[in-house]
Amino acid sequence: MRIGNRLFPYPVLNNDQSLSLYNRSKFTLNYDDVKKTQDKLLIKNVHIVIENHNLNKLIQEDKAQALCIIECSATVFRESYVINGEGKNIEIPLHELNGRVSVSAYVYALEELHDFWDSDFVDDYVEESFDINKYELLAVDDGFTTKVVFDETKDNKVSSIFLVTKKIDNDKNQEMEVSLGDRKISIALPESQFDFYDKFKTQPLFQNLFFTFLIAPSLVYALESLKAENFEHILMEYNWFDSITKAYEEKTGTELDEDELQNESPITIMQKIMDFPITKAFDELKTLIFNSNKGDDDEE
Amino acid sequence: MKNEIYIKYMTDELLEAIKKNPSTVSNYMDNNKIDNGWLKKIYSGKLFVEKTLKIPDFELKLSDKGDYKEVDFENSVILYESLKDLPKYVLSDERFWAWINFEKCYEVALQAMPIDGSKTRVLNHYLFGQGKRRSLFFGVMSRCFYRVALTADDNLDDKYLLSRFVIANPQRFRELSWRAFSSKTEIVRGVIWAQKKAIDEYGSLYKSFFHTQIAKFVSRLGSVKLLDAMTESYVFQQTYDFITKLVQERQEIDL
Repeated sequence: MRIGNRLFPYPVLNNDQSLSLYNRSKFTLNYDDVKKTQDKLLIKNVHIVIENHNLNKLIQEDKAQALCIIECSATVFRESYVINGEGKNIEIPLHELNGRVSVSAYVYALEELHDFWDSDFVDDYVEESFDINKYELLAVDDGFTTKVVFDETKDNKVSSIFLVTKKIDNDKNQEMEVSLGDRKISIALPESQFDFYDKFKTQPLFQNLFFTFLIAPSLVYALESLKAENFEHILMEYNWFDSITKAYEEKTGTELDEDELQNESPITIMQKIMDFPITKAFDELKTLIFNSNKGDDDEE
Repeated sequence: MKNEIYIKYMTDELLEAIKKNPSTVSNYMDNNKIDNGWLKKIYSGKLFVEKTLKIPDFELKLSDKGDYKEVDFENSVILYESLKDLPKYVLSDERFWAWINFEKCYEVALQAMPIDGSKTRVLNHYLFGQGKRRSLFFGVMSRCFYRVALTADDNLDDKYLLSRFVIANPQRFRELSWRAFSSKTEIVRGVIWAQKKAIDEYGSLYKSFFHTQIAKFVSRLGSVKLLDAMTESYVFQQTYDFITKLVQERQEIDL
C-alpha cells in the first residue's frame, strides 16, 4: 500500500518531509532486519518512532493506533499488524508471497477527534483546528519494498534466462524478435531458423555461434533497454537480472549496480558475462571451415 | 476419499510459443474444443511439468445446453475447494493457470469463454496478458477461483451465500477486483453484503451502473481513511448508505 503524494484536507505527518504538513515532528517505520529464512519472511523488531507529543498521547490513550501493512499484490496478499507499543517480529510464510512486497505504516484515529490541533502544524494550518473522523489517517510512512522470488526452476545460470521459440503466426516475417519477460528473455525465430537451431543447439561445436547469433544481440538489447528504467524497478520486476548481476560479479569482481549499468557499455557487459562468445565463435568458424576444407582436400 | 493428483505447470517453452503465436493458437482452439492435442503442433517438446504439490482430483461440469452460466457457481466452488490449500505463490503463477486452462479444464474453459478468433482472449484470459494481479481476475478459470476465495465466509450457515450472489452477476465483483483493496476479504464482503441488501430492498431501483460508482466510492473512502483498519460491518454500512443515496438520486431524476 502507498499513500504517495495524496492530498489531505487536514495536516498529516508524513515520513517524507516534502509531503509532511508538520514542521519538525517525525514519523518513521523502523525495523532491525529483513530476513528470508527457508520458509519465512521475517521482519525483526518492527516499531514506529513518533517525534510528536500529541500523536504519542493519542496512541497511549487508545484514541489512535499504528498499523503496519504488508502487501504482495501479485499473490493477493494483504495483512495488517498493530504496532503501537514495543517492537514486534512479523513473520510471513514465504509461500504466501512472490515478487514485490511492500511494507508500510500508518497511524489512524480510533474515534472521532474534535478540535484536533498541533502547535507544529505548518504555517498555513497552525491557526486552524480540525474534526477528525474514525479511521482517518494521522501519520504516514510508505516504508519500503522487498522482493521474494519463489521459483524452484530458477538456477541462476545466465544461459537459463533465455528462451528461444518459434514464430508461426506470420511466416513471412523474417525478423528475430526479443522481448523481456519477468523470468526470461524471450527470443522468437522464424520457423525454419528455429527448426535448424532446435536440431543443432546441443552440438558443442555450434554453441558460441548460436550465442553470437541469438544470445549476444538479445542481451545487448536487454541491457540497453534497462538503462532507461529505474534501477529499483529492474531489481523488482526482472528476476533474470539477478543471474546477470551474479555472473558479472563472478567474472569481474565488480558489482553490477546502477552506476555500473549506466556507465559500462552493454556490449562489454555482455561479452564479460558470456565469456567472450564473439571471439570464440570466430574460432569455431575457423575450425568448421578448416575441417570442411580438409574434407575437400582428402577427397582430391 | 478423493484421489489426489500432482499439480502441473505449463513449461516456459510452450507458454512462450503460445504468446508468440496467438493467431495460430486461437484458430486451433476454435477448431478443437475438446482435445488439446494441437499443443504439440505449437511446441514439440515437453508441454507440462509435474510439481511436488498435490490437490484432490476434480472434474468441472459442462452445460448440456452450452450455457456456461448454468454451471458457473457449481464449478467455481469445486475449483475453490480443490485449490484453496495451495500456496499463494502457486495460485498466482501463470504457468499453473495455463495448466488449468489448457489441459486440466480445457473443454470447460472453452465453454466458459469461447475464443471466437480473438487473439487478445488467448493472451488476456487464458494467459497473464494483463499483468500479474489483474490477470488473476481476468483469467477464465482463475477469476472463478478468486470470486469464491474472496467471498466465502465460514461464519455463515451457507458458506457460499455471497459467492452465489457474485457469480449470478459477476459485475458485482468485477469493478472491485481491479483495485488493490480487494485483496482484503473484509472489504470485499462488506461491499457485497451492502449490494445484496440494497438489491433485496430496492429491487429494480438498483441499477447495474451503480457497480462502477460503488467501486469508486470505496476508493474514495480509502483516500483519507485507512481501509485496512475498517471492519466488515463498517464497510457494509458506509456502502449501503452510499447506495441508498444513489437510489434516491435516481428516483429524483426519474421523477
